[in-house]
Amino acid sequence: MPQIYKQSYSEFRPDEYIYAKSKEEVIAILKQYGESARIVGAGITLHEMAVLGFLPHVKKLIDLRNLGLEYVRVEGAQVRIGASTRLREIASNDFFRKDPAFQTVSEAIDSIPLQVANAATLGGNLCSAVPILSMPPVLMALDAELVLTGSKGDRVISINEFYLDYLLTSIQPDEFLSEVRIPTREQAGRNKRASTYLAEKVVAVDYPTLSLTAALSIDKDSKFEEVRIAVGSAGRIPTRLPNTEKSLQGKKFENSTLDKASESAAKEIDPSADLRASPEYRRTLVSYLLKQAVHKCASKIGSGGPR
Amino acid sequence: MDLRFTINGFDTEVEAKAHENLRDVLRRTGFKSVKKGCDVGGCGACTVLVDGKAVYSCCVLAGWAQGKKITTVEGLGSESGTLDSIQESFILSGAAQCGYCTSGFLMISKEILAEKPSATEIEIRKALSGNLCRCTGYAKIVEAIIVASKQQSSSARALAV
Ligand SMILES: Cc1cc2nc3c(=O)[nH]c(=O)nc-3n(C[C@H](O)[C@H](O)[C@H](O)COP(=O)(O)OP(=O)(O)OC[C@H]3O[C@@H](n4cnc5c(N)ncnc54)[C@H](O)[C@@H]3O)c2cc1C
Repeated sequence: MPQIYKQSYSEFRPDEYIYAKSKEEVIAILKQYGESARIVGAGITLHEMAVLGFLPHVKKLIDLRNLGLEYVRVEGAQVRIGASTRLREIASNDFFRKDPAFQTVSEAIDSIPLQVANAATLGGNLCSAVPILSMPPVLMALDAELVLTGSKGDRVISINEFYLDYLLTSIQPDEFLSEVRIPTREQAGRNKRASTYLAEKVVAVDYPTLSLTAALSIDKDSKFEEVRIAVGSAGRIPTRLPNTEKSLQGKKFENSTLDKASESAAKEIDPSADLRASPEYRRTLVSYLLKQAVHKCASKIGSGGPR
Repeated sequence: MDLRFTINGFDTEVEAKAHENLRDVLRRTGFKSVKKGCDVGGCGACTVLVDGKAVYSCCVLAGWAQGKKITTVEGLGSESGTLDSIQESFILSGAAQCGYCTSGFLMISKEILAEKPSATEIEIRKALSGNLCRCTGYAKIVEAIIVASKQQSSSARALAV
């Protein structure tokens, strides 16, 4: 470990690793210790943050294993996923493998190294609040809801309202994420819907330089119906692209529509420069990935479009 | 804190600090096959199996492994010293040069062979993307896994007859 990292990691010295027995206990610890208590999924983002020196104040680590939050339940109008469910477990569920409308979930997880996806939890991926992770934009494009459990009971919010700024979410100090709900209301028209995840990486094992998820339907006249597009690594928070979505909705699937949409996407993101790419490169990338993603969805739907 | 887990089939109790990662605890307990590489997940040298699944032991906390079943290279093969077929295969294919990455590659190979015995070369390469080798290149490693998977399926056939 380079010296500078060794120094910062040595500041990460929690004094207790707690296997909480109930959600009441979790809430009580969060209330008592505030910022100095942290929930642990697998601890993979926490490790990275400890290395970067972000966690000198953390004193209590809370493990949720005894709360029974590891499950994927495909119910009538929604899929419920427990916050402690490991990513690989989710990706191997037939629902996310086979249904084109929700395949973006397994595609995104398949892009993460096995040694990470085998341990990492969905709750940890979402609550990291780092804009370069894959699952936030994926679940934004699927219009997911988050169940936040706290001293006042459960509150359900849209994932689109969850991210406020870099490393900052709307979760309250005495709350934790217990469940993710994905609506499946479009099931009637299911065979016309598709979703996909695309990401550019500098090397095979890296965080995405840019990731994009598209979830859309195309009607029998080759017109886009509902369109949802979300991006990661494109600004301080993961975000939907409402203008780009509008530029596609109700329009015919043809080159001129795609050109306009990809111009809109390049304008709509607010990327910064980092070691992976310049803002200009990310704008080029988002235009390109948007077109690719729309084509990929269309071919899943079986809808012929422009060549 | 007191940690209890199974390492290579043996119930083990160790003392660990809340901040410690699984790799450091395993090495301290004597499992030196678990290598220290990049320290931030990505090089794969610290790969171990936890409940049968490959995990970077450097970036999970030791507390997370409480009660789980851990397998390291020391647990491959038999007690009498015969090697596991994947180890044999790495030797025969010349899939190691300096050897530093080898234990991580052996452990990820175990998962590949267990989960998808008939994985194609492309699938194998993709599954290996979280492991780095800086000297032999990957051709021999991929070859070793393909050879082991063929052996595995022919011995499975032999048993079925
Ligand atoms: C080499 C490498 C490559 C990677 N590539 C990718 C990639 O391509 N795409 C990608 O998405 N990720 C990637 N990752 C990151 C990885 O997926 C995340 O670090 C992981 O998903 C985090 O999950 P965790 O369970 O370990 O979270 P933890 O580290 O345990 O938790 C993360 C944060 O969330 C909080 N938290 C956890 N659970 C809850 C909860 N239920 N309620 C409230 N707060 C909670 C914790 O307190 C902490 O602040 C990569 C990681 C590595 C090492």
